[in-house]
Amino acid sequence: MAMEDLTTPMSRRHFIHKGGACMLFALSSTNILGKNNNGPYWAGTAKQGNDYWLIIVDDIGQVFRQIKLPSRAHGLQKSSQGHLIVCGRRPGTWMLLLQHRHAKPHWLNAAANRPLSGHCCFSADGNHFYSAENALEASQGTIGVWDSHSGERLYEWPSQGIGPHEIQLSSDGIHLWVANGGILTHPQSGRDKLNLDSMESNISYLCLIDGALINQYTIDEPQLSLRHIAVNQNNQVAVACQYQGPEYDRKNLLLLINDGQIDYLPCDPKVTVELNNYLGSVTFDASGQWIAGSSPRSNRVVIWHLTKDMGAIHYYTLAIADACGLSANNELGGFIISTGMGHLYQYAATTKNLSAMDSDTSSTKHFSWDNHLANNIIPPLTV
Amino acid sequence: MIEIHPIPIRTRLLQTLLATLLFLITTSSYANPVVTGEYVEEWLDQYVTPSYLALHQANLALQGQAHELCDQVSLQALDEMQPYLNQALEALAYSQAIDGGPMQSELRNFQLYYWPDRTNLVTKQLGQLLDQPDLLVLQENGLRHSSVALTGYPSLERLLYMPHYREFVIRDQQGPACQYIVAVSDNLVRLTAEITDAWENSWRRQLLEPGNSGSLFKEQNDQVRFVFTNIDVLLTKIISKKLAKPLASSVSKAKPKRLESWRSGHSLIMLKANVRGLTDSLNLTLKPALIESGGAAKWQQIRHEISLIDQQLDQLPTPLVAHLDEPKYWQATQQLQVQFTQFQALLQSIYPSLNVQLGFNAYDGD
Repeated sequence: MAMEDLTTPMSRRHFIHKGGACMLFALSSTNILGKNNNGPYWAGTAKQGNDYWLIIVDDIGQVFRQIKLPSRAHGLQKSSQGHLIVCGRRPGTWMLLLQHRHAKPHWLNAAANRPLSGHCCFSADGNHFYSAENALEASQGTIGVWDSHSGERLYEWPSQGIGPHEIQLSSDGIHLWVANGGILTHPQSGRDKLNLDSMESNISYLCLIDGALINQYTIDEPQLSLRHIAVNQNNQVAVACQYQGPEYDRKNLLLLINDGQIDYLPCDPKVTVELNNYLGSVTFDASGQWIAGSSPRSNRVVIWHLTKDMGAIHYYTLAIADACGLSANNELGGFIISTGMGHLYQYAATTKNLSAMDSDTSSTKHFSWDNHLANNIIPPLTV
Repeated sequence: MIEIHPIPIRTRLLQTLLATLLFLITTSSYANPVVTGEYVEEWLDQYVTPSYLALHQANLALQGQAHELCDQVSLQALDEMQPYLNQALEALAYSQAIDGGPMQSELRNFQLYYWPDRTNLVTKQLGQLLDQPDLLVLQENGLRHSSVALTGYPSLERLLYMPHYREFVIRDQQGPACQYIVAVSDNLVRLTAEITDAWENSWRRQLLEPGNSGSLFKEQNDQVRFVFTNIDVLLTKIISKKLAKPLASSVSKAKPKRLESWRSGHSLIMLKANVRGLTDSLNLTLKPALIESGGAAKWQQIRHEISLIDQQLDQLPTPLVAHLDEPKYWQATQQLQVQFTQFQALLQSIYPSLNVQLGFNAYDGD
């Protein structure tokens, strides 16, 4: 599969946007590329017109690489070694693997009868990555295990549920958290949810040596799909949900797994109503003490704080149009937020300051950031 | 990576000129949406505010009639109340091109009109209530804490139109059934009063002053997106709920009782009111933006599509519930669904040329 790799042309567009003629000569140098060779970067996928792109931006939101994708993508993740993996979506037939941010794209096909069902994640050493898949013949989820260097699919494990969606490495690096969303779909049925009356969702904790099930978490709310997860340094897991029951029935949507227990985090009932039973993404900040959950269907980003004294509190709710993609920056309580309107924001929970990044993908370019951002590799936080 | 080669000075000058021209073009066409705040204000003054005021007035009239009903309960009194309910339903449908904002806060949209009701919750809950009346529910503001299945028009529609419910109300005379009708009508008035208050005291300012502290709308894009997302949401609801579900996949599988307000025979009247609301909204926002940006032909195309929908609606028999499972009318209704789908696609194809972006993640997420 050969796709267009437009490394740096956004820099040209940026030049045009800025309009400075002198910038033309700046383009003649390698400075624009050079300044992006080091330092933090974020990656996300986006739609522009009828095209889908992987977009890599620097810490001020300037695009320094974009790669055209064969179709819409969903989850993406960076490894601690700098690999990047992007998963295709509906149909989940392809993945894009970069060995590093400047590497040549390596396109991978999903295994036969194992369409991808959402997200991938890397092992701690970056030598392997794992993919959430559906085993069509059994209507059960599987976890594909892949070699990050060769792109070879090595083997698979049961995901221990139906419809695995987001998967994340545990903080000890030897387990895998799997959000089995519980919703059965089939490529031949498009987006139809085939088992809403009998769905069962769970969070499974697998051993990365053999895929064995170590623990499993369920809640007494069968139509609450546990879909997106984030893991912090203490192996606490934030679980963002989507409720598949009646629209008028509004459910609490964020749970936390802590010390072997799963429980709801508090949320202002008014905000719970506003969220429209849908959280699209969740992440911890760099300290692991703050959680952001996004609800594009209500134009909200909800912030929770895990305090030592008072436990978990619903800290604040931001109103941002079509916000969904979330990532931590390297600040305490700091998040990057992307929107379908083309904006990238930085939010500092400690000061409640929301500021727009000087983004090269702003709405004036008609970019729509898709559901997820890949987390930056976070340096040790100094508090 | 792009390889950079030395560029001759004349080529550089030419590139500079081209770049400057490109800059002028891109900044002029990619700035803010062509739909301005002025149009949004017109939309608020001439569509949003009047539509909610009309709905509130209709509810007040319905409330007045409900209070009179309990003085002398009779079939005739129930008949006399029907036009008031119909007027309120029609006013609600007209207002549905703006379903966001205060209407959605506290789930007021569901409290007013819980539909579609996949599990027939209204019938179940109403049956329970009338079998064993919970007087707390009937006290002042009691419905504030009741199930949405009991708080709005759907239960009134059953009590006023369905024979066995009507007989129950007559038998019951001034008992709980009549008191419940009064309580629902009071609740409807409360809800629409809250909606009109919220628009007047909060939402109007927020929408017209994007970027102000405390505003949900950070920029003009958000403001304009709100208008057109509401229009798009109604079109999606018409296509996927009001028409697709009753039509099902074939005439033999048609489900006429999945039509909206079929008990009062109001399905088509609701659809026609929806189209009026959509047309008025587009007239106030999209039309001037298109004409100003040289897109008069596109506006004519929109007008043409709307007139086709109007014609198709006029061809359908009333009440549609009695005819949807006839091949001729099933096909005509399916054609109507196709026309709405084409209309939505036409609008969505025009929005980018006006720098209007609908939501992306909000529409399609996993």
